[in-house]
Amino acid sequence: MTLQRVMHVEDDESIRAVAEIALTDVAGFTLLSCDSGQSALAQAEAFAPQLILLDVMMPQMDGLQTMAALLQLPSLKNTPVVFMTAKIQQSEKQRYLDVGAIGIIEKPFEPMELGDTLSELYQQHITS
Amino acid sequence: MTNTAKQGIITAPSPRYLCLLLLFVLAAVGLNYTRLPLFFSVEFIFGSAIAVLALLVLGRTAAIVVGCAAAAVTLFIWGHPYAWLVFTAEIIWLSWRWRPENGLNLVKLDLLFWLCAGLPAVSLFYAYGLDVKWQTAVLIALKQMTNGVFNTLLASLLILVLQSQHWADRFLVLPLISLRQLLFHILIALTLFVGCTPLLMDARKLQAEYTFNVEQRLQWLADTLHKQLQKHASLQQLTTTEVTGLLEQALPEESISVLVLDNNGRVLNSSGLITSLNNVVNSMPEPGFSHWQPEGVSPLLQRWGQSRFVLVQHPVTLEGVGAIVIEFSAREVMSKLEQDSARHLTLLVAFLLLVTLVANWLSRVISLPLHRLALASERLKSSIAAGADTDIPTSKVEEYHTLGQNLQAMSRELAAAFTIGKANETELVRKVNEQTKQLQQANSQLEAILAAASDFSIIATNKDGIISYFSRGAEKLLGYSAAELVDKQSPAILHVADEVMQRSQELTVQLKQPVAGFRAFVVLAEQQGTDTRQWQYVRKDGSCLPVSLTVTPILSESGTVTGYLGVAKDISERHRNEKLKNEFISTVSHELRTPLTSLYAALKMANSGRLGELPGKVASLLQLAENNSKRLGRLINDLLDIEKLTAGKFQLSLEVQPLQPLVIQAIDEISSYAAQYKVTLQTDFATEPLFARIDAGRFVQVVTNLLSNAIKFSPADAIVKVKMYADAAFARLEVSDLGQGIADDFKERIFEKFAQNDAASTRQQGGTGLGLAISKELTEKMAGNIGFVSEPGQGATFWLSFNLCVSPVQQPVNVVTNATGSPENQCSHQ
Repeated sequence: MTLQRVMHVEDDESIRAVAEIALTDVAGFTLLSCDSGQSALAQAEAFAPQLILLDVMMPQMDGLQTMAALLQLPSLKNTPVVFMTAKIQQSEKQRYLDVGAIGIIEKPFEPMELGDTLSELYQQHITS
Repeated sequence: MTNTAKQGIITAPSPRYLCLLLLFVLAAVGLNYTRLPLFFSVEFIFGSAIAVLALLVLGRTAAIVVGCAAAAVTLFIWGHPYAWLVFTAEIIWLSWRWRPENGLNLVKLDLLFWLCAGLPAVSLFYAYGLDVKWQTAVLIALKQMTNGVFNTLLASLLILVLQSQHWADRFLVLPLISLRQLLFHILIALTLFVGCTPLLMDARKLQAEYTFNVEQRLQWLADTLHKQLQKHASLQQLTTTEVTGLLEQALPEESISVLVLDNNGRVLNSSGLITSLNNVVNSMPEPGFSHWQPEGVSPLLQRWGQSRFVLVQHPVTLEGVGAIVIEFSAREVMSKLEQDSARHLTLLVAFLLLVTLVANWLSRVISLPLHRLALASERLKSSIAAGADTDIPTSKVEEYHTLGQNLQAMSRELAAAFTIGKANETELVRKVNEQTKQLQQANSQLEAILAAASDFSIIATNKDGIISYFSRGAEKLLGYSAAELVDKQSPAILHVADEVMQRSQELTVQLKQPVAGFRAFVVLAEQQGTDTRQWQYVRKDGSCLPVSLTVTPILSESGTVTGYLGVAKDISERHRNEKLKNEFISTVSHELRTPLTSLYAALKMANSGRLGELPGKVASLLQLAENNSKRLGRLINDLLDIEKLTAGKFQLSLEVQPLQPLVIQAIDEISSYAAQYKVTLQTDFATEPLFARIDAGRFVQVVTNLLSNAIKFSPADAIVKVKMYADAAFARLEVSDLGQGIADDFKERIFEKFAQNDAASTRQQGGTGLGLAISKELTEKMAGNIGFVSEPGQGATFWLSFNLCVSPVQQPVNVVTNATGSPENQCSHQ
């Protein structure tokens, strides 16, 4: 199964805008962009994403809290999550992987390769 | 006796003293009743010996009491008080004059008393008080003198014997024996006892001789009478007067009396007074010779004066005569015996005086040199201490002379050695004082330094972990005073108990031995010489303080641990700074990268052509913007990298892996950059794979940086050579360019942050000035080395060197570097 439906949660409008172009125009995904964890929780079940791309640093509800909350939803408990973050140390990377993320994408990301990267991670996840 | 005894050996008045006193009194009285006859009418009594003994054992008062009690016996035995007076005076004199510490001799003192007071007093008492003849009075005085001196000698000898016996020390505190006194008493005793024996034997012999002569005479008289009476066949035919006349004719001396008895013991006839039979005989007296003395008569002389020598003969040839009794007055014999006693006593006294003089002289002669040596030896100590010669007396006696010579030589040697020793001591004292002063100065300096180090907590403990020093800095940091903790508490009270317990458990596992309590602070320091670790100190008010604590053992000269020193620095500021730094890195990373993310992504997608074709100039401008956004991204990465490196928060994932593929990866990544500068990359790799323990990503980063610099500083159409080979135990990479080379004045700064050859060149060539600084840090964190060779105008060759590893089979090691440690990078071989 190929990756088609991606939900992106990012509080920065600019990054949301470029990510949207990278994931829709470039990668051809069906995308739901959310500006906060709360917004994502409200729309996620209806959208039923195959993969969630989560920003880590968000106000009020950060990426980890959003992930924990989303995976509580029965229809999303097995949905893979990829974190996107500007702060990346090896220990942090391991921490995100330990909480269940299938991958971490560093900012600034390669917009032309973002879609391929997510597809690759998704394929690895469903085949493992 | 001796010159070291105290007057009175048993102090009064304890029960023991009183018991002994009573014992002495009874003994003295008893012994005065006991008499030892020496010559005729000369008997010794021994009560005064006990009195003198009491003087030596119990002291003056006891001696006088005993002497007085003993002398009182003479009142009863002799019937007059004169002897009691003289004997009491004798013991009072001895008690008063004798001082053992003065070395006064009791025998000589006693002799002095008798010669000066006793003799005259007794003579006068007896001559005028008892109406005795002068000669007799003098004899009695001589006898009492001899008796007194003899008793004193006896008592002195007994004490000498006790002094020489160690067992006596358990009961009596006796002083040491003086050699002179010992010699004197032994000489006088031996001489007296030996010399007096012939006198005594002579006296006994003379008395026996006289008695025998009397017996012979009476026997002859009896025979003569017997013959006379035999001439007449029967005495019954003669008248009493005629028989008396016959008897008188036979016995012409008036001092001889005769009694003739019949066979029934009745008196037939008598001449003179027969007192031994009281002239009334009812039974036949036994034949034989005897000396009759009247009963109930005392003194001896009076009794002897009334005594008779009696011969009883039973003639067998005289009819009607049963016995002839002849009596002879003992006065004649007594007179002779008295003369003999006087002579013997005089000889004895003269002998006593002579012996006393000779013994005194001889003992002095023998002991004086030794006494002088002893006195000289007492001066030895002070002479040696003064470094002077000691005057050791010489002697004509060989042994004393040798001893004296040896003492003299020894004292000289010792004096010389002492003088040298004194000089050395003075020098030593001077040096010690000097060093003490230096030590005090050093201590003052140390105190000042420690006081100045008020930002540090300096705590020393003894080897058992009890605080022995608590600096002012420690007081300031922790809120305790030194007095509260020094010699009272262990530093463990300054720590969080859970932290100490956790550390103890870690060390127990690590060292495979039980570690607990105070040992958790010191066990590694003992093994490694020092141990630095971060701890939480607990202040007196209960608040916590993060510190970096360095513990070192304090060693003695022999290397034994005598204590521990803990120097702690408050790192709460450092923690705050680290937290701030981490937050800064995190914030900067996030805040810079966030806008750059959208900026770069937007430019990249716009320039990709996927969203539509752009007009030429717009495309150029957007490409320019994309390039600079990349440059900005690199700058941010470099800044964050260098910040993490210097903060020690850089994480590396070290793994043994082949280097050639990574270099190729770096070349691939930089190839477009090289094409841009029209530079060709030429590789020259060793055929065999070269393994090293590195972080792959960071290794690629370093190589990329070197390649980037080489490309950047190469002229167009130039070749950059990349060479990789094994150099002994190292894997070596060289990147060589043909650029302008590195100026001499820049070579030292080339690896510094923001170091640029010149600003203009930087702007022309691009770059942040952080690449080589980051490359150096990363290389060294991976335990490698980086360097270069360059001459101005001749290009540059940058090289990397890593320890060659043999096997690539190695688990990755995540190494978090920090300011106080360094990563392990020894290849371990499986």
